[in-house]
Amino acid sequence: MKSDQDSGLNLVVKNLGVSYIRKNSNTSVIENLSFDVNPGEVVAICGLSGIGKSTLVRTIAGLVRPSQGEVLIDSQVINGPIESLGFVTQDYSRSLFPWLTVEKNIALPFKGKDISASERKSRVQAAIEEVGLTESARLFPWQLSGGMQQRVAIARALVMKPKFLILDEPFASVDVYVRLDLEDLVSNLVHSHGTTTLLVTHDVDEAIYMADRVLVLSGSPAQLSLDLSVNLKRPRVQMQTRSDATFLTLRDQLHASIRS
Amino acid sequence: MKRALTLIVKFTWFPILFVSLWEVTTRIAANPFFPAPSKIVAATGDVYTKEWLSQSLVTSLFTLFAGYLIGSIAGLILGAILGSYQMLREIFTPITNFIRSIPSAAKVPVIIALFGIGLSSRVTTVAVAVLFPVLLTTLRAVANTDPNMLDYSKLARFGYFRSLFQVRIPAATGEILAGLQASIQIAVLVMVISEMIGSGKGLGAFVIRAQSTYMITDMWVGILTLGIIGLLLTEGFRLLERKVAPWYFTSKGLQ
Ligand SMILES: Nc1ncnc2c1ncn2[C@@H]1O[C@H](COP(=O)(O)OP(=O)(O)OP(=O)(O)O)[C@@H](O)[C@H]1O
Ligand SMILES: [Mg+2]
Repeated sequence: MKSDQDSGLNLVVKNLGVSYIRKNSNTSVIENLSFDVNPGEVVAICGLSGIGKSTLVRTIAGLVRPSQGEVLIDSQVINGPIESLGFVTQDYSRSLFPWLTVEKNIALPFKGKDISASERKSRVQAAIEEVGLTESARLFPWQLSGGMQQRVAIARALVMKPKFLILDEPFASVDVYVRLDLEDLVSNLVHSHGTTTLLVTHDVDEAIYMADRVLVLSGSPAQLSLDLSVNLKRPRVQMQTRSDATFLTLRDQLHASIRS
Repeated sequence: MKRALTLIVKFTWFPILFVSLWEVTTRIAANPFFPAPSKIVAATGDVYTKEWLSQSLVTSLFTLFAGYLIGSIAGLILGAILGSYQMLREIFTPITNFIRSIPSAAKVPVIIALFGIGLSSRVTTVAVAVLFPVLLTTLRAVANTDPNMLDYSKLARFGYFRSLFQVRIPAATGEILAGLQASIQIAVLVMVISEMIGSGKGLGAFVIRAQSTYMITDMWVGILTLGIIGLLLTEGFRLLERKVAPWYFTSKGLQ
């Protein structure tokens, strides 16, 4: 499945600590967190709401400064978003620009980059096709359904051919059928490009279905309470994979770990 | 056809009623300071053909447009800079707040002291009055860009200018337009005040002069002309802003 030319980047999180200042006092959200992700790996991050999942991936993306430790992508210390990063944020719909059409929203990351006009055009076209929005390319984001907006955000993150992709609850507000479709869509895309992927989700089934590994955050400040490999063969098929005995065992393990 | 008729009736019944009542009341009251609207309209042609069409109307419109353009462009530029630069904002906020708090009419003497009582002084008065509300709404809108959009701008590795022109300013368009629209009324008001104080030129001066010489019908023609200017500018702006940012009005479901 994986192509060698554009394989993903590796990630090292080392003794990471993140705290927010609230009313002049420091609240530590993450403390002493360490883990590695190999190139091309798809890693899901699970945990209860408010535990610090978004904080963790935003720190990895370079949007939040760590208070301790460091994040390295491809052996580079992160202190701001890097070029080869794609990020679909949790509030994806509010990060789409209402004054631009779908097409122009997706083309936006090219601004200021040294890529020829024809190359841009064909890549935007390809990204729009990949997420199935050809019909809606000229519409504005506010003319689309929630699920379609999500596709736009995904296409916008993929158009730069990121070698490292972060998805923060990317399927949170769509119905279950659209959700399953989008899961397969994203899985296929990241596997065909060998993109290293972090997927934040509170849906344990989704985490197992999509990931090679699932990390569970728990406690306050958040700690890694489980690092579970998912040994389910690929390609995975929604209903079939989800009823696999291994799937069910992993699911019980994860549920137990998240609640503890 | 029938629908067009209903529409016309819907929008005109009240103005017609209003003007009729005005006509009847002024005729019954027969107060020399309140001529009937029919008399004002009848006198309009006369007043307009006297010298004041060229003098008052043109002077006033020039003051208004020049002052509004200078003030709003300066307000937009300063607002965008202060809105996107937190450090500058912190330095300048107290002083802008203070100057803004001085009523426009009270600034006139200072401006007259600086620029005399000529046209440049009146243009400056309008410009200063428009500057602050435009600066403030622009500043606020540009400073309060949705954090999700700013995150995106960082992820796309936009620098200061790209982030300002591609993200902050377009995101602020709606509020900026509202500020520009509100400033039209302010500009008309301050133009009239500046003309009434000392200058002897423009519609404001015309109204005052007509009043003090008991040319009451002339005075009313002047007042109604001012109303019509304000109305045309505001409506013109409404049409213009829908051309500039159509997405804003449709996306918010505004009319
Ligand atoms: N900008 C911020 N300033 C202060 N505190 C914050 C900020 N962002 C998040 N927090 C706090 O950090 C903690 C972790 O928040 P975070 O958004 O990372 O949780 P999460 O695991 O992503 O939750 P959810 O599943 O609901 O998205 C919460 O207690 C939250 O209140
Ligand atoms: Mg979150």
